[in-house]
Amino acid sequence: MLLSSLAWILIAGRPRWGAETRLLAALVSLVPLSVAAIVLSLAINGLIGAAGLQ
Amino acid sequence: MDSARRRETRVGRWAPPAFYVLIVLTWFVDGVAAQAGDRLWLVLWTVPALGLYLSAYPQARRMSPDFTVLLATGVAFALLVLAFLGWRFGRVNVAVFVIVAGLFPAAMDFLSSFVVDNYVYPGQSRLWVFTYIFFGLDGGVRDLPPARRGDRGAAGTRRAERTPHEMAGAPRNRDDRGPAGPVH
Repeated sequence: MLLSSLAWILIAGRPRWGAETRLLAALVSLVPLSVAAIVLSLAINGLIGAAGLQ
Repeated sequence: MDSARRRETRVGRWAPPAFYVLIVLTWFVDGVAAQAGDRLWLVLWTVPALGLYLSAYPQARRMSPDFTVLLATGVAFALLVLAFLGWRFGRVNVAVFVIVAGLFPAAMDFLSSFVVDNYVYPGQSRLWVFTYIFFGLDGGVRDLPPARRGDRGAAGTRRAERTPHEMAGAPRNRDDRGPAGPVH
């Protein structure tokens, strides 16, 4: 998933955060990542359905 | 192992893992010394070889993989890649990578498997698929930002241009290397 790479880039690009903060950010990011993945999946399925593709 | 034994030739048996090794090696080359455009030819030059293989061994197109070997090699290469990432970006960033690129897609696929039939691994248990996707890291390694010489990169930690001290052989400053490292 492209979203997970984006999340890693955003979190790993903050070396000042420290180890605990970054690990916590990774765990917390699972929530918005899941929501975004579900929305993206629904949107793509809707697009595919609207285009009449299988 | 039956599916592996059924393959007719040694070349046919070992070509898929050989291609896999080739692709992983291109990641290493890419990570060690890459410039803009490198990734494209690194990918493209494996495509004709794959085409030659499939034209020479058409039975490979319909071959059912040995899922145990598939899982074992996937885990082994994932550990290699994680070791490389650990060396390159530090242990904390690898742990973050495992969470967002391993745990997240594996958990999402696991949960969705109770609702829809989305498995492309026939006959495999949910635990098998979870483990395979977890260690597959879901292509996250491939999607990492391309490196450019002199570019700090999206990770912002290790892509800095080599300093004169480093050119002279001094080690590069690495954070996340434990308590002896610089203060965050």
